[in-house]
Amino acid sequence: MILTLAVLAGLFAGLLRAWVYHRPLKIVQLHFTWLLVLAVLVQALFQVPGIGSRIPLDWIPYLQVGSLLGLLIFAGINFRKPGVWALGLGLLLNLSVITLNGGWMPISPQTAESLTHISPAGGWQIGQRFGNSKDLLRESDNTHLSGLSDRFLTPSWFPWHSAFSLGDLFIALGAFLLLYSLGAPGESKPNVG
Amino acid sequence: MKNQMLIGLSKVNSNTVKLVLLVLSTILFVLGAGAPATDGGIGG
Repeated sequence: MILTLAVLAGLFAGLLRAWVYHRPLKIVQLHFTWLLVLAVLVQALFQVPGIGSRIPLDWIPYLQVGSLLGLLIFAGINFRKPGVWALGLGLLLNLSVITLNGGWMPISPQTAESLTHISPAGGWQIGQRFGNSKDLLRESDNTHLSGLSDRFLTPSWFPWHSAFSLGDLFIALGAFLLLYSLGAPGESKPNVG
Repeated sequence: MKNQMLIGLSKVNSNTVKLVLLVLSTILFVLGAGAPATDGGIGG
């Protein structure tokens, strides 16, 4: 939800920027969107309740890393578009920590407990998948690049409680910048004659 | 006049489609690349 909020905030800011400066919308056209759709569909296979539970757990790391690699290629192709540098950087950070931790985004039992208020003794076990997410319970001491894992929590006053990574922050920034560019000035035409 | 209106209308529709595609693509990318965990156990 926090990432979806960044998209909505960027869209609102971009439309407002265009309206304030009386500019036509500058709509960025992304290339190879079929690759984006394909990569996300692969993830939907194991994240959607009902379908995800039928996929063997052993397959998920391969599907996850493969999907993220597809997204990385998509970001590389569209690298020159506004905000895509941040989207790509965030993706690269998440991909690094996921790949080095067996194809799962690590989340510590302490973070999971803070998020759900279920104590590890009664609820969470090391090596357990965290719901239908991309996360797997892992002790921080046994986590590679633990600084890039889902270790940040939204403030308690925030209506949607989430644990997120540094990569997620860059992805949120990138989404905002991409849609904020809707209100960017158009390219000036060269003077002829 | 009618042609101009049709051209204007098609341009508006084309821009709307492009805008919707851009927003959908952005949402798909953040859902695919991001990995937040929620108290319900699903990212977003």
